[in-house]
Amino acid sequence: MVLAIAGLASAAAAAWTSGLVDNRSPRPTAKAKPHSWVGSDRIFITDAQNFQARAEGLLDHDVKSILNVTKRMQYGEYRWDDKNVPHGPMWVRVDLTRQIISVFRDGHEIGTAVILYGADEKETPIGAFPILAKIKDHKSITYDSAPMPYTLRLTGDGVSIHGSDVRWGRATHGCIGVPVEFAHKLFDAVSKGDQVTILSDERTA
Amino acid sequence: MSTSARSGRVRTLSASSRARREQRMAVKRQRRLLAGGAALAALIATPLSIAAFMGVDPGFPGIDAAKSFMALLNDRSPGDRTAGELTKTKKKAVPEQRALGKINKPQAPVEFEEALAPPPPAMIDAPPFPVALAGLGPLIEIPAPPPGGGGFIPTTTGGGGGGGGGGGTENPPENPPPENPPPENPPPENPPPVVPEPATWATMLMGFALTGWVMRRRRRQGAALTWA
Repeated sequence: MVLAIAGLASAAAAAWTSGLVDNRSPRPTAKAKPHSWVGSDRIFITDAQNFQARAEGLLDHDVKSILNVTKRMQYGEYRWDDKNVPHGPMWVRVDLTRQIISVFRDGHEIGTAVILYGADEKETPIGAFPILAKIKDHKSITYDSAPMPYTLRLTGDGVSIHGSDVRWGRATHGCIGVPVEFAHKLFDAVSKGDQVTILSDERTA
Repeated sequence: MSTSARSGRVRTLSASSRARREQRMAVKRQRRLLAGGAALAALIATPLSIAAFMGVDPGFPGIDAAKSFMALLNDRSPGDRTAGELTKTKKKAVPEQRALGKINKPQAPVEFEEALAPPPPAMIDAPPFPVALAGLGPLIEIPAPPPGGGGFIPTTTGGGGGGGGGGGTENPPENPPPENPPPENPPPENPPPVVPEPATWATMLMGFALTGWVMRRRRRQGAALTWA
């Protein structure tokens, strides 16, 4: 009996506190968006979480929310959900250690996918790059005219984000490979000059 | 005039005693409530704090808010790409995009190296009072000069220079560098998160609520007392 009461009370307390934490994050934009949006399809990121990630050096923009993807993604899998996300500045975060790309619009994540990145002898560079050019049907000049659909060029020497066959055990020559459909969506979403941040836990720019 | 006043006093006396009894009852009731609240808070805090201490996710809804951003990204990540992943052959080989891994000389981790070869302590680190000098009576009064430097400084006491010089030469054998110094600050395996644990939150909020409630009660009671 006592245990039951204790369990109920603790559950109530946890729900209460987590509700407190939950409610605080979406406050700034809570007015603008419909109520149904604050559901299970997004996880809202608090200031403290932002601060922690920034302190670790693994975040350079404030994030308002991310897609609720709690299960491990497979190679070639991607999520794209920009429903009700307000228009705003775009930026792309590429995490080499976690092999994850995240596309943000106005601080809300609208897409994520598993990526391929450069093998050790041709490493993907670390840092923040503006998108220099968008080329829809690009054929590689350096690598035997390999198809690179939906290329977003990041550096002068040709490192870019492009569509490729994302599978386990593959790597690129320094580019960032994303699933082709994801690359298409990303290609349509971003414009020239938007920032792409490439991060890695081990290496720093 | 006097009778009416006396009767009035009698009436007020009985009223005040009744008020006092009521106040006593109120205090008792308050104590009972306070004890109940404390017990409830302890009951709530116990399972949550045990879960937090053991690092177990209690599994309540909305707990994700207390996870760090990187932990949230880790959940969806296929993981770190291992070195051998690109060179394994038991899979469908696609030569044009496969690449061989870089060959690296294995390096011992930094902590390990430090544990094997501790940096020798500097001369300045040695304590200025050598233990061997403790037996000499008159010299022990002298404030210890820096080792080796005492001979050059003209001090007010005569024998100070000699004592200081002796201390300088005797110091190193007295304090040999420790063979295996214990690690000074082993890095914590799990750094405490910025976001407090739900148990902490619950306990803190319970405490605040309890404090506020008691203060409110006290104030109201104090006001009642001044009226009576």
